[in-house]
Amino acid sequence: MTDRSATVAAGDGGRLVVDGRPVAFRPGDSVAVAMLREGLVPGRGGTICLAGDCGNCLAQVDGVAYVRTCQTAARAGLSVVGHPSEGLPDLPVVRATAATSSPLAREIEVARREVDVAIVGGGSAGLEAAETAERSGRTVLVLDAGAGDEVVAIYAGPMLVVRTRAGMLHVHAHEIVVATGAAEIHPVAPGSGLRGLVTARAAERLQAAGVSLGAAVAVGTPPEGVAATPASGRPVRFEGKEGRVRAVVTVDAASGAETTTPADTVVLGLGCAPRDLLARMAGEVPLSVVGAAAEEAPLPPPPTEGVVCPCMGTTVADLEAAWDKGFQELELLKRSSQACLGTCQGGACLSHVRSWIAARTGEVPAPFTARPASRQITLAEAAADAYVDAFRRTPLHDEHLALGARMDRFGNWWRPWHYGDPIAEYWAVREGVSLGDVSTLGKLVVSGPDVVEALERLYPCHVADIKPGRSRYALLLNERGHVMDDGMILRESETRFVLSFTSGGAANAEMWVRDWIETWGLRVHVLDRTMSLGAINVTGPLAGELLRRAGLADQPRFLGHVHADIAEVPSHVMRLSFTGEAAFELHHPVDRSVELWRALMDLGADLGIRPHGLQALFGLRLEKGHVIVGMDTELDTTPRRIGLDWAVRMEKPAFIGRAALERTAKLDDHRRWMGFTMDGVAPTEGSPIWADGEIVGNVTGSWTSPLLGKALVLGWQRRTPVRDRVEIDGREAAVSPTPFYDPEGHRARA
Amino acid sequence: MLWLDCPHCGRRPLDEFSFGGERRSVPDSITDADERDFDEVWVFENPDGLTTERWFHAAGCRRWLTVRRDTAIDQVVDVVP
Amino acid sequence: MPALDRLRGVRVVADPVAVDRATFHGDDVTVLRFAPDDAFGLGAGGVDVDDPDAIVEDERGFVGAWLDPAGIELHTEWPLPTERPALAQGSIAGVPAKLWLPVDGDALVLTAAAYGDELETRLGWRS
Repeated sequence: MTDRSATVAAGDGGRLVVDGRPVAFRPGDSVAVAMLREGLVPGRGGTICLAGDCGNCLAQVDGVAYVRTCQTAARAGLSVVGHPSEGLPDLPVVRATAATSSPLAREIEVARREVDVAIVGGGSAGLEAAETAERSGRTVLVLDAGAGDEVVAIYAGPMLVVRTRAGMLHVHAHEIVVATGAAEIHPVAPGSGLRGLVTARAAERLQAAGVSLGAAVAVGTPPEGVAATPASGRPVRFEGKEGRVRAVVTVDAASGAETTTPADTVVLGLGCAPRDLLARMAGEVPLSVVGAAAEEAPLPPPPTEGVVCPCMGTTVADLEAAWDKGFQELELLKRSSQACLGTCQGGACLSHVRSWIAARTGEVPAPFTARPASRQITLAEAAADAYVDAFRRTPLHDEHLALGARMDRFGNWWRPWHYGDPIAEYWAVREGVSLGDVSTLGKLVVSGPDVVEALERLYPCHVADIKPGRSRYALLLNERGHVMDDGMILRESETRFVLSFTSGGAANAEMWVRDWIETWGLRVHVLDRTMSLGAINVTGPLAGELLRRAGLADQPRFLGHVHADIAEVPSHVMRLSFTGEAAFELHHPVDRSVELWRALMDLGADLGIRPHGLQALFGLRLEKGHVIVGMDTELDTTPRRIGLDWAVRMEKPAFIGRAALERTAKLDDHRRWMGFTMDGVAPTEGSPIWADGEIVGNVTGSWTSPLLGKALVLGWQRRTPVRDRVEIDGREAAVSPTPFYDPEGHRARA
Repeated sequence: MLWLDCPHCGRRPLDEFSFGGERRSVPDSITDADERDFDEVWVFENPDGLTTERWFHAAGCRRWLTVRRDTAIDQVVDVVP
Repeated sequence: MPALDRLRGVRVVADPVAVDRATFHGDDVTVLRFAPDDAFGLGAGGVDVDDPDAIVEDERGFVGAWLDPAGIELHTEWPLPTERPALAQGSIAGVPAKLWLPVDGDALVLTAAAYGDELETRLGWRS
């Protein structure tokens, strides 16, 4: 990175393959130089700058389109394919990957550096800045595009994203110095898209590389050390044949006389513009610009005819059309005319557009804000540091797979959707006994002298009267009285409780509990056990029998909980029910889940035991009318709207959300979540609910009940008074009280 | 990307943290208890400048940080222990 | 290829001062301090802690592997701590994980068992 001598990577000498033809190159050649030596012109035409400032030498290199060939070191075997003369280059072929949570291929390595000062540009101004910083004892990193380190973005932090020969480099710098120099101005005139136009510096480089320019004509400031016939005056037109330049027409400023000079190559010394794109990308980061990049150079004369923006093909006439529509400001003109929107972000055209606007308004507009990336990078380069979400696996993951489960992602976990026969799984719960993997439930231990006080404030239900060994269903409300989550409060002793939460809501619930306890300064310890404990739900009318066989003689009553060894595995046994049948949740050390699961499956073999997946569970809960927070609820769901007012004790003096509920209690309720029944198969979840030709709600859960022989629906009706009859999926549906099944709850308590 | 100095874990990129919202304060000029409740819950400061907000180090120690950030320049001023 | 194995120990959450002074039972215990009030005594069979409301639990929820930490640094956005011993916590390959760096020798990378397969895959330890 500090090797400042090399300009373009030293090629090893060999052959490239350009459009299927071998092209020899010399050590030190870029792809563009190697092609020019062979008489081939990279890109579709236009002025070649060999400095990476424009998009005129783009080609597809090793399958990647929009690559600046002037910035790409020639390498043996490199495949170069020109972009088509019309339309877009082909997309690269992407390897098919399985849709899993596996990361994107990390073929591109990301290196990271932290330095005091990052200097972009290894020219004299950059090196001077580096020496000054080094003298003051600061660590310095010089990033020079010519040496293979292209800075493509600067973000807040500040952080620089650099494309290097080895991959990507992320540099965290305390200070950034932009010393990127100045870019040469491209001509705007009819014929400026012809091949055979080069900037003065490019001509010097080509001369040094031994590339013949043929009969060269120099316009403007002539190049140094390059034999070229000077043509005086300003270029107004380029004439050519078959896409190649044959002559340049210049005009004398004083007399207005035109001169036509024949040429194989026109060398253009039209001045420079600061190359400050990166400085304009950085926003409010500690950044300074030095050298030519900091100098406001004179703008070129306002263009009158021809293509202004070679990337987008925007002409002077296009600028005029946009201006006449009222887009009379640089940012607006840019968006409407597309000038400066190309791959070089105005590298070739910004100074012309500014000059053109200045000629109309009398004021030179400031350059626009630049956006990452300043160079075409591939998606792989952009994503080289990014990961998709990591999905968790329960300790029973492999067990589910062995049982033929179809796994799916819920609440950042892989969970079994079904094991091949969700209806049989349903009946096992309703009539026999079944196991469900509920390891994903949130599990928080809270303990301390102030724990009751904390929970009384956190929850809308009473907590102090829960006796050790008992539990209570509880909602978690936010300050607006909206339902965030639900779960159980289980008391273990005077000063210790276990709180459970939904699988998807557990992380937020932990944050919520910690935030409030800390804010109140209460003496409560908190330990999240979600991933340390596995949990198996044993449910069905034969669940009690199965647990007797597994060693649980004294079984807790409904909403009771005990610590006991189940099949020799130490378990916290919780008696509750989500399925509507008797249910025991067994929370146990996560390394013993497989052992416990297998023991229960063996012990229940003659009871017809089988596991149930989420699909059956959602049907079971639907028959009970149980809400699933997040699936059925909306962000502004109050307990009243989902029929859970009973879980809120307004006689309590204070709890989170109480003040909001008190206020909203005075208001009419304009939406309610309720049950519906209808004939036939269940409508799709999410279906609209209609009444009187209007959509009045939507289905949040539906199930064709094998037991009740009809379709059951849970959903919203957004109007008062609610209608008794609505239409769903083109069929009539009737509002029904819930639970649909066992409304007195005898079976769960059995 | 912004980085936050977690007092327990050190300097970490922002995407390791979950946002907990701004620490709001009710102006003293609001004296009615009901109105104070309303302001506390519903009225955000959303300043163009210094704001105090809560971040949770989800990928690390799983503890809260209180962060002062200048929204005008999107820079962290400091992390209040 | 390294592999993540089950870690066993004792987890204690208590007043920070009590955690500072806690005595873990066992011959070869490594104490990983997750937070001022939270420590994991890797290899411990129990703990004496002077806080009547301390939460003390057998901890089986982590998996880990001992290895040269240089291979991990490629997968963290943050630099590894330079002092030793140190516990680093944060995203490793996009997975919430921790890295224990003893005074000398190999480091221990650990994560919740629920993330174990994902972390192994992302570190290239399994195909």
